[in-house]
Amino acid sequence: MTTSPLLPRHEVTRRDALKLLAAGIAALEAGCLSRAGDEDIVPYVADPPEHRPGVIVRYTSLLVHGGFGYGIVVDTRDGRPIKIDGNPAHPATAGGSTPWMQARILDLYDPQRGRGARMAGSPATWSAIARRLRELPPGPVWLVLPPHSSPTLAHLLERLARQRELHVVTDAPLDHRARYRGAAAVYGEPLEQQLDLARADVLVALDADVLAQPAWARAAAARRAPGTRMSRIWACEPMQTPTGTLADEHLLVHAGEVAAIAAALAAELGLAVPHAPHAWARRLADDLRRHRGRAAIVVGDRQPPVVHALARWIDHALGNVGGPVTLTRPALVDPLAGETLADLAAAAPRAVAVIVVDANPVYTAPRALDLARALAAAPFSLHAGTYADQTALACFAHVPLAHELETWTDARARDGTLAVGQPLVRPRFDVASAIDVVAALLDDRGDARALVRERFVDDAAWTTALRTGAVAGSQAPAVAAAPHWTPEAFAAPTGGGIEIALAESPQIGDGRFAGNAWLQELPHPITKQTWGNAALMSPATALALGVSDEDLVELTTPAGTLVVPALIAPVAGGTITVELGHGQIVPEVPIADRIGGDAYALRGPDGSCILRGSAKKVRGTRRLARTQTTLGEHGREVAPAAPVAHWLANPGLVAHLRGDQPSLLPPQNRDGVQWAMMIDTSICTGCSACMVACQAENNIPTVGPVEVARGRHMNWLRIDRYERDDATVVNEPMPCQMCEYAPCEYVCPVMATQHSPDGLNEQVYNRCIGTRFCSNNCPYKVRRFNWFGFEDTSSRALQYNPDVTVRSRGVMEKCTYCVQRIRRAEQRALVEKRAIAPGEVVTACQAACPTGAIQFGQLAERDTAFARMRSDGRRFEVLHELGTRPRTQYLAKITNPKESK
Amino acid sequence: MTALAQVHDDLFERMRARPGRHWWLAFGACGGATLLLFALIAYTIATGIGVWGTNIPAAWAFAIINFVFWIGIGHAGTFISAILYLLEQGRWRNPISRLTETMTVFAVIQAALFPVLHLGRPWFAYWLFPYPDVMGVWPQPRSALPWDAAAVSTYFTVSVLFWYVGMIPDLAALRDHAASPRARRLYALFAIGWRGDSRSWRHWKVTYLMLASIATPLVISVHSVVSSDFAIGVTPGWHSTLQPPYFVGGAIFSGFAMVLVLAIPVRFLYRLDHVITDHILDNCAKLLLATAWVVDYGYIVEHAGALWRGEPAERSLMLGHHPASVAFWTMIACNVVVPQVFWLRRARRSTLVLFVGSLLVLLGMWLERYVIIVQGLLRDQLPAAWGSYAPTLVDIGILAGTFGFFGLLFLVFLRFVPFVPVSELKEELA
Amino acid sequence: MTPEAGLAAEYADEHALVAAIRALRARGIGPMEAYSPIPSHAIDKALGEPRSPLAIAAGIGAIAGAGGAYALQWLLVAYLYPVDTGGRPPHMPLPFTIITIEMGFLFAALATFVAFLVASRLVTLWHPMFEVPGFESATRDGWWLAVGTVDTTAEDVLRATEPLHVHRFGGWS
Repeated sequence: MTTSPLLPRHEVTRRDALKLLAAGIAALEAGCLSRAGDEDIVPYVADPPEHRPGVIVRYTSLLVHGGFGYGIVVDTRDGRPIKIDGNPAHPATAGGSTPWMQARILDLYDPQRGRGARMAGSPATWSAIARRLRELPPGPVWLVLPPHSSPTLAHLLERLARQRELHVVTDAPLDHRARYRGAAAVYGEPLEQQLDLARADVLVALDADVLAQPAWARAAAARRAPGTRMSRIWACEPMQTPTGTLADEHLLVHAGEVAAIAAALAAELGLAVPHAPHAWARRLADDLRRHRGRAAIVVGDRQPPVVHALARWIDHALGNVGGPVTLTRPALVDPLAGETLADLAAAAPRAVAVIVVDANPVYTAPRALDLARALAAAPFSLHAGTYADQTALACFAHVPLAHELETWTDARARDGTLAVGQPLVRPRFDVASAIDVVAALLDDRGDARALVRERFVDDAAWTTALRTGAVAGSQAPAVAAAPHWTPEAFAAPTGGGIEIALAESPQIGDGRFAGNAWLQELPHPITKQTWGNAALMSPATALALGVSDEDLVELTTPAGTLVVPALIAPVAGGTITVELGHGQIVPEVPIADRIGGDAYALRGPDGSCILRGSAKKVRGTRRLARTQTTLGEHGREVAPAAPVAHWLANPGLVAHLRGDQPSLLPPQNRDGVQWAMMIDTSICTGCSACMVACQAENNIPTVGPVEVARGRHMNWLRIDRYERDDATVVNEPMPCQMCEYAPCEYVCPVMATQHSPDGLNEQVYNRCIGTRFCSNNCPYKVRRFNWFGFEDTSSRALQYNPDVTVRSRGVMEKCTYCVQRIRRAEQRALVEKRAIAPGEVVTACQAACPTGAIQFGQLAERDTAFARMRSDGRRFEVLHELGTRPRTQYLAKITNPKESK
Repeated sequence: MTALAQVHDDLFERMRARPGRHWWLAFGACGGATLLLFALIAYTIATGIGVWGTNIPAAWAFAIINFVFWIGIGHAGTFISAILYLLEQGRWRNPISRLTETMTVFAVIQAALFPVLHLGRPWFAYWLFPYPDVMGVWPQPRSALPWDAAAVSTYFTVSVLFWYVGMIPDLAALRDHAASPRARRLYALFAIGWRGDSRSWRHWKVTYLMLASIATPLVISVHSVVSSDFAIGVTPGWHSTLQPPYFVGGAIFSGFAMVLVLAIPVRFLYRLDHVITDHILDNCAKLLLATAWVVDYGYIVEHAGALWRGEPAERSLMLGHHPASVAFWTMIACNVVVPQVFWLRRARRSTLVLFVGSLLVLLGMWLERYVIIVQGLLRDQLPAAWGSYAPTLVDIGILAGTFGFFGLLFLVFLRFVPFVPVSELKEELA
Repeated sequence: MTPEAGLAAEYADEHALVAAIRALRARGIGPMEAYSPIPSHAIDKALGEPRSPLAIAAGIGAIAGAGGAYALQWLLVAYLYPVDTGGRPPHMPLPFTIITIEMGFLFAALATFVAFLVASRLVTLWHPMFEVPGFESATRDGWWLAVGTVDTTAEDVLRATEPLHVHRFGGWS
């Protein structure tokens, strides 16, 4: 019995204490409830239909590249887009991807993108800049735009041109106009060549990486099965490209010599054109004659218009038009119209405003034009671009460019099919798109959505377009045209020195993707170099210059100089290839800043990419970050290949490379669901879209050039490139082989890697202590290790797939056959009380592959592409003799060279 | 004065020499290297294994080389103190047996750093031991790494026990004739009350014999287990049944070199020429030569085997990569050419030749592990996965640091512990 | 039986000590213990103590360690938690023997060491003999005899063996 000062002055009995205690508890509860009662809150029971936590919701949208639209399907989680794939219904992709398409999802969350607009050196808002644009005084306005096919933008520009004096410069660093000029020379108007490669028995690529276009790759791949219907691919180019690796007849020539080959070919087929005889062209002509009307000639954009004209003429001469080749009006709006950057440089001081949208001409244009000074001379200059690059810093104002997934866009595919790109997420910061900028100039208050929507007739068409990702029936109609052309004599490029051919980077394009870490770290399909460029040359050229790999060479042209390390690659003798897009000085974009050498400095005022200059060795070396340095098979049969005639005569050619080896171990369980993967090396171009898709799906970090040079790149899937003794090149993607008798499993001391009942080799991240014995024992070296804490803590982590663990320092990781997708399908099947359907589980690499070279499925499947590959006689296992019994198996590469030499 | 007293006084007086300038200089250098070692260890654990030169494919490099190197050195100590004991080679084994047992214990301490340090997540190293954990997972005994954990902990424990038990009578002597009360208390603690009663001596003799008998098969088994780290793998150059005898021979080879490197300065600085005699050094050199031939035989078998078997991966490595490698030829020079000098009696009796030759052998044996481990990984089965390797300063600093730490422990041992087995030498008189 | 109290005598050398032991034993005087700087087979014979059975401890330790290790491996990996590791069967006798053998060695050594400490009554930081003046020579060159009785007859016999000196130790000092 105590008296408490807080209680009334009488003794507290035990009963009282209990009563007080009970009262206290009741008061607590009442207090909580009464709070709810005091202010009514309403539970969130009516979710928006799209908000489904844990469920992947897919939307179509659009990416724009080179002015053409590429339809995509985007996976979103909790309202956040995390993965891009090609839209099967869109003719540009046919479901496949390219590396840049996969990587664009990272740009959405890139912290290097501007956090806000700026004007006169201080932060500003887009609305402030838009007000300036609306209030521009009358006078000439110069707009620099990339090539585009957007009906909305075209309409807006037309309106603007009626309102004021408008000059539009179409700036494409890698000029596509040569092919339109060539067509115009032949037909009188610029017509586009459309390809239906499934109908082509012969595909001729003249300095053209045809198969880089996913839809063309898929169509061409359909004709590569060995047999009587197998197509033949001819390619001549200064440096091997992915198309070149698939070519049956491949010739390395100077870029300047391609014109001579085209001329010789045309002459063989009857055109009166000055030419010199060319053996390769003669053989090609013979093959084309045998396949009249079933061939296609494609010329790369780098070649001068006359080569394009020759190719158009040859298509007609062979009767290809109407078969594999069709002619249409170009999807690009006015491809040959518009002024030039030189005009802009001259007129800038008198202009009222110079506006550059989605272009970086200070970096990409010939330096002689001194565009930075011109932009500074203009009274008002605005740059709307992804990064605060050199052009942004030279302009008065800068607004970050909206990512396609943040705004409404429309564009046409190359074949004319119109598609609308819908935004999937609100912009995190102030952005503006090209449509926004032109609308502001027009003082049109409509937002991008309204402007794009205007182009549609009714709601049903609009909704269908957005749901399917393409407007059905909107492709350009075929145009019947006849060639009228008398070619003039053209001189083969002469001059002393060495040819220097500038090429688009297969990773960062013309430099627009230099800030994308995934693309910078993507190994080059041919040289396997990451993070930078090099002077690519043949062994003979290197010998002549006295350089070996990584020695610095100085390249000089009349326009400028470049010092880059040398790298021996499959390049023609006497020519050096350097890729564009590197060497940017962009302090606000650390991923791109000063990586590699600036090859744009070598370009002359005519913008040609085929240059003549000199090369000499200079003192010093620079480390190249390459992921593969050994190219031969060295006596191991890991990349078998054979010409089709030999294959048909010896169907058991690779039978000794598959099947169960005798073993002391008990047979592995093959009951129930068993997963496996097949990869067809005959149709793998090495484009590496699968590698970036894997990176996006599985939260794979990038490590930077220093670590890649040390051998620590993290890509789970890599593509090995083998140069066989018979000169065939084989691209061999290497995911985890999921060996049934995995050598990695029995050496793990803590059981962090084991085998699942459905055939997967599982890596248990939270059990791994990082002894790395498993990596030592993996003969395929598909395992990667987290040497440091590589996980990204910047806003890029918003792209992370929530279904996949982000690995910490000290842990091993590797390809899992996208186990998260397998388990998701299992759960769905379990809930719906059914088995997993064939083709229900698609791995990320399989989905991205444009040619369908990667197929995944269950061993028990029948009648699927995967099952057909499993029963194909070309099936082999890599390192079969080790007895690992891999579930990832391959189809040998069959080539189709021309018999008679 | 009795003969026993003479031996006792002479040996203890020499061992108790006040540390001169040499000792302090060496102590300073080794102390500095030890501090460097622990600083680099802390840096590695805090930052990641990325501070080393390891990569894919060379995922094992300096750390595992150092591990095998130090464990191998330890084996010669046990060979001398246990195997030669059982073979009743006491005449020349006894004077150096304490030094060599100590070398073993300290070498194993260096080696034991690495299986933990080289882990990506070393704070989970205890998962290598079987204990009931919340994950319900246990170590996986088909892998050689739990075998390593078992073998190395066994070897360390048995070596320490053998070393300590052998030392008890001498510690008791130091207790009884200690200079200061503090020293007496310290030695009394470690002498655990030894009085020399006949019961204790009887049990002691059997214990010593038992421990020697257990340590003997450990010499073979522990390094065979360490070699199985490689033998059970499929990497070329690793995957061979040659590994256990090849590694054990190499271990004893490098260990004898370290014995000579330690014994010669100790003999010189403590004026123990009459105890660590020329005859003993001569015998060590002979065993060095004999074990060199075991190792050289291994080289012949490996390369001839690659030639005869024609297996592409082995050919690439043994016949393609090795002849172009500086490390390989240095190894051959140190392990094949240098030991041949010890056919000459004059060479075996010259402490300078013995010392320099032994240092070169240590270099050669370290390089041998480099050639096996790293070069095998760099030229593995799939040519597209071939890579290159370069160590970092942290790698080199840690290796140098282990030598410093080893030296530090050894210097402290020389200062405070009887490094000649006095009771055993007294026994020889009787 | 090691005497805890009684008479302690030092001798000049091994022979003298052995002769003394024989003399005392012949007269049935005991219990006795000899203290020497080195082990001596002659002393052991003279005292007639049985051989050390520590080898048995080693054997028991070896069997327990090896058996336990194999059993643990089998239990965990082959019986309770069999997991598919590279297609290898859950029970693999050959790999299991490695840890088995090593644990056999380890436990044999540990058992021997522990048995040694127990049997020698070691880890005694103090013993009555340490109070005997001059006993420190036992670890240098001294040969000592301890007799567990202060009987005058025993003392006479003891002095008759010509020790260097005799002291009482233990309770009677």
